[in-house]
Amino acid sequence: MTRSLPKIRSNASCVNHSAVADETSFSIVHTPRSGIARAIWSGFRFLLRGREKSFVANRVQAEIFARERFRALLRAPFPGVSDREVAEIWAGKLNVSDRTVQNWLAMTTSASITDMTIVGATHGIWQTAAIFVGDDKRDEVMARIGR
Amino acid sequence: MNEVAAFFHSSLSCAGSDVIASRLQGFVADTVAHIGIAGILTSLVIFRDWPIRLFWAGFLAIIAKELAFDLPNAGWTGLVMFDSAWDLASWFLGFFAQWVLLTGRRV
Repeated sequence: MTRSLPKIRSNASCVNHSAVADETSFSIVHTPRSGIARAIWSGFRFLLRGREKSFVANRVQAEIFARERFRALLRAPFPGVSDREVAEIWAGKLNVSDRTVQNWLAMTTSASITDMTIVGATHGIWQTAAIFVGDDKRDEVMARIGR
Repeated sequence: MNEVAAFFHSSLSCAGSDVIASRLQGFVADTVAHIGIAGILTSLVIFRDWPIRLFWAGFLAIIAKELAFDLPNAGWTGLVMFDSAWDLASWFLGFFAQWVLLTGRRV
């Protein structure tokens, strides 16, 4: 099956897709690890500032974040395997084209909620949550994907 | 010493009961108690969205307790001042131990 699916584009006018394409090298695997000092500092900020009282999403950052974490979900079971091979494996499981999965891995398109559900189900909820959350706490994620 | 009265005295003053525990054991028990109570509150704040001000309320309660009872009951001695500061530090340790452990997640 070589059917290629159209790129999924957001209808929101505020989404800058070129900016998303520029961020394809970003990976949660390569984010700086949080040291003890950073963790303690974030704890102080949490105690002093509390949680965000209001939240408005930054659509560009949220899209990058979602694509990046979904890519981590795709790669997680196959450490050390090339993206092309990962794409072949997942394409067979999801019944989509290799190209579609390659686009997800390159973060040029967003997966549908159906695809995310299938991939998440194969991992199980705890593993999915662990990968999706990564190193970040909720407040840190909210700060990243908010304005 | 009466157990209730012990609550109003520093574990490094006369509160350490020589009969059932040494002063050091009392000190360690108090330290763990502060860490534990702060840890419970921290869990509720982080996982159940209880207000953070409860954590600070506990902190202020310890300060009030130290200033109103432990320190004056021991004559404001240096050792008890250290114990009071230690108790406050233990309170924060209860929070940060949990906070830092939660930060250690890896993909």
